[in-house]
Amino acid sequence: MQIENLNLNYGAVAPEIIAAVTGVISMLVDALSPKGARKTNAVISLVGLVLALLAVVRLEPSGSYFGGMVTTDPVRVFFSVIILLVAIIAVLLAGQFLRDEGLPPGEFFTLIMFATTGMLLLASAGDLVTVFLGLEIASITTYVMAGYRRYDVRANESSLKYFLLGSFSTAFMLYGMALTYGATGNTNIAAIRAIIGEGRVEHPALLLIGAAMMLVGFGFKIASAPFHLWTPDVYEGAPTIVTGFMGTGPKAAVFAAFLRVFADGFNVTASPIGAQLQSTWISAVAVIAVLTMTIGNVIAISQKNIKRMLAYSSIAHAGYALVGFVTGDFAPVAFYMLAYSIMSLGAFAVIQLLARAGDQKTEIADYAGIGFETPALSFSLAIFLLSLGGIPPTAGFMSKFFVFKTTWDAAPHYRWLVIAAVVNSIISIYYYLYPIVVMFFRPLAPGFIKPRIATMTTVALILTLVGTFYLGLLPNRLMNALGQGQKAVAIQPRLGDR
Amino acid sequence: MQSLFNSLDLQFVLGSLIKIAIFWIFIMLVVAYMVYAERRVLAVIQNRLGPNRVGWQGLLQPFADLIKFIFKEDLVPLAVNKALYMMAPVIVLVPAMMVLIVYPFGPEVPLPFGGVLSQLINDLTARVGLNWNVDLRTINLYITNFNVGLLYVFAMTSLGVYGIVIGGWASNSKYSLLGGLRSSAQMISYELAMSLSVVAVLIQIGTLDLNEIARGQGDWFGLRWNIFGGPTLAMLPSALIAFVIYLISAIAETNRVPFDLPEAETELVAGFHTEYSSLKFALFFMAEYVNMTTVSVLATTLFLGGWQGPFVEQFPWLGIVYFLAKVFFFLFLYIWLRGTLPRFRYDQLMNFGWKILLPVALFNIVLASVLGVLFL
Amino acid sequence: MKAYVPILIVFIFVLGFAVTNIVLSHLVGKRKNTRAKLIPYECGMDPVGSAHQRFSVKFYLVAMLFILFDIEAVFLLPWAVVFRDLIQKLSRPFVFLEMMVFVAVLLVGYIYVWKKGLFEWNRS
Repeated sequence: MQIENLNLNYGAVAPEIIAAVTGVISMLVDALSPKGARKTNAVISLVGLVLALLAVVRLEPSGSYFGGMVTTDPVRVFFSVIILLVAIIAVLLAGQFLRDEGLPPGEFFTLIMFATTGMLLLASAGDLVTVFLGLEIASITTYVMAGYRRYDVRANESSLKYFLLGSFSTAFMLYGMALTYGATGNTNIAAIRAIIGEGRVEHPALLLIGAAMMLVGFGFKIASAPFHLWTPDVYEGAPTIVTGFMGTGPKAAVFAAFLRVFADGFNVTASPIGAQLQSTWISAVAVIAVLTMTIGNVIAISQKNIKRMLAYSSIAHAGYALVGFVTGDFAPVAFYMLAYSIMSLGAFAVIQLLARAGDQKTEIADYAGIGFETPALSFSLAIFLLSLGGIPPTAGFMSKFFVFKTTWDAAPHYRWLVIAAVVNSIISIYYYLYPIVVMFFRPLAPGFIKPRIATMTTVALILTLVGTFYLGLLPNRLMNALGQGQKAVAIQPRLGDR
Repeated sequence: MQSLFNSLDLQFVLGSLIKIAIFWIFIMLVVAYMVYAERRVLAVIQNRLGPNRVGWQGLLQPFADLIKFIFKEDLVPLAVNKALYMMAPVIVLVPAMMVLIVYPFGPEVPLPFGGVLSQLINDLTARVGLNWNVDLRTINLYITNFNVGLLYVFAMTSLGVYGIVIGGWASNSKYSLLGGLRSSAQMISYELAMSLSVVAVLIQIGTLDLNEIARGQGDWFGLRWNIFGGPTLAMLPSALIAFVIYLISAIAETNRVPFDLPEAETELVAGFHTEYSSLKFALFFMAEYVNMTTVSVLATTLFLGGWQGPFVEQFPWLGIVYFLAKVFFFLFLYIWLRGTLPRFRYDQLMNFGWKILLPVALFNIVLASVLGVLFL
Repeated sequence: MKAYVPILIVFIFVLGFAVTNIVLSHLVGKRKNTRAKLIPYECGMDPVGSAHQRFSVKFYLVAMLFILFDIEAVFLLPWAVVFRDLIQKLSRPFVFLEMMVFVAVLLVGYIYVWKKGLFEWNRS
């Protein structure tokens, strides 16, 4: 690599730079103010995130920078928007969370900002090295956030489990990358794609093993089926806000990298090894998808704790999103992740409010009869749950429809996958309806205290509600934009050929 | 077999082995007489006599000490973790001494009778049927030379910390444990300032090869030393600051007065080597002095021109004289400080390292790069 | 590669020396062990409790900080070594600013840990 022609373009990494600088600023503000600066930092983070959002919108539509380390394409832009939306909602919710729990305020915003930096980097990664870098930045910050409630044993357990298993999966990922590098002699995803396309792979077995290990690594991070075991404990123990954040943002970001590595880099059929690789990973993903949604949904039915239930639901949703993967194109996955992020964050926000400090009230039984005591909260929760279950006219329905429809049309060989997903969605409605029934049709449990809702939290709730209905009722503009983006990416799956 | 004995590799290995042996004897003598000199100089500073009975002016004292060490009782306390306890002195000494191979003692020098000697070797080997072609007319005054010499030195010297921690822990004594912990915390804290201070001069030097660094300071009648800014006088301020930081942190690195907290007698008896006796103790002792020599050699090479000095070009052997003079100056400085300064308190020590030396070293890097961008 | 061979030689040489010393003192030194002599030294008293106790978390923090800043030094060293080449090849402000950004980020971390009280050794 010549040092002179790296195509350095700081505009192309402006969102990442803005997020990182904001994180640094909020870190300094926290360190230099004697009592901690909750409100100041919240405002700083919000401003930074909005600026980053503007920077994302102003990105050039496509390009490759820093010697191929960073790429701009519709995948990046779309997922960056998802990530920033998630971060904005998390920041809005964090203020009240920190105040109510009496936690040290400063680092929380810093961690969110750094996690956002990592996730943005993950979404923009054009090179396996950048993928790893972004993954690590995003993961390590979320490990810390999971244990943010320092004196809570469950939070500690959650953080430690997340850390250990996360490191484990990262090791898989890294080995996979190393083997892929060994097989192709390159870490750049576009270059790997070209090399596979020309069949210039030194050791085909290495490439297959490398891809399998990376699949395991990504599978861990998105909590898909054989690698999902950490999810319930981690999601239950972490503070609810953090659960909402790490179930959406990092997951979406990992999906972006997953798409870029697999649906772009490993999606070539021009050479025998490419075709073998592609058919192998697509069938593996299909199996993982079925396993993931089935396990997630079946176990979710028996859950008594709403956070645990939503953890399994999150596993199931990863499965639905994976269905879109077999088309080899990013639009359904991206749309699904956007919808899932919004409704899931909304649900977790309501749970946070109802749970009181220290997550005392997270059993579904605690929700008995609160329906008409706090109508705003319980109706919002009901809407989010229905949306997660895929009832029209919400985002959940539209996103599922989009994914299933696209897959049905584009991948005739995988129609069984769509059928399995639809069956699963129907099963899932049972456990999504159950809390609603408890809330509205059971007598009020004693000791219920009506939660106070801060302004910022209200804003976040309104945002998520509006998002849920907007995506459910008026998805056309977005889908059209995604459709055009899809053409720009020009990932052409050849599933029908075989 | 014939070809193996004829190969240049074997000659190279043998050559380095001989050089290592010579330099090793030299460094052992330096260590031995450093201890002696320390006792004598301290005595002078404190207005007493010091060891003066064994041999003329006590010059044989180091050998008496050595014999005493050998015949001392080899005590292994009951509660120790035996394997680690035995290993610790080795882990401390081995990396300390391994650095010796990159000491740049001097330039390429003509060996007196080198021609005759090589003739002799070639004849002798020919008599046993080998075909050697040794040329000893000029020799290099270093054992080996590679382009990451400085990094190698840093890597090796920082390995010693392991030995100290292991020794402190394996002794299973409170004093040892505390001494080991303090020592490691101190060494790693000051190692930072040390490596950061070196960055500032590396900007002017542009290489990590110690011989290359020494060779680069030969202009101006052998006085264009890096401490004066090396290639340009404009770098003088940053070089001076770097030198001061290096010197201070080098003293702390080697756990010497006024930074000898790990063995503060008043608090910790003897620190991490409280439970060590006989030659095992002697190994720790040797390692400390070898490390002192190493940081002095680095200071000499990085800042004071190494073997450079007036007339080195005409009389190459002068190089080693200059080099040793500079190194001994630093060693004398150690003793002088020990005779003069009181000991830091531990919090003062850590504060000084982290709150003063480290930021100054960072600032100095900025200063050096500003000066470098403007004037280099 | 040849230049690195002496590392191996000197390693064997010095290791041999050190091990010889240990063995020598083991063989030659007289030994008269008594119980009182073999217990850990604690100013002549019987030791109180085990020596392997928990110690201050500060030492871990220092070790972590050391790793952070040492990695910084590791990145700074190559930059400093090629500095003179780089300012010939690339624009001078670029070479300067790239590294200053790096130093600035670490400076921020430094200020942060300072303000969080990691360097306060006389405070428990």
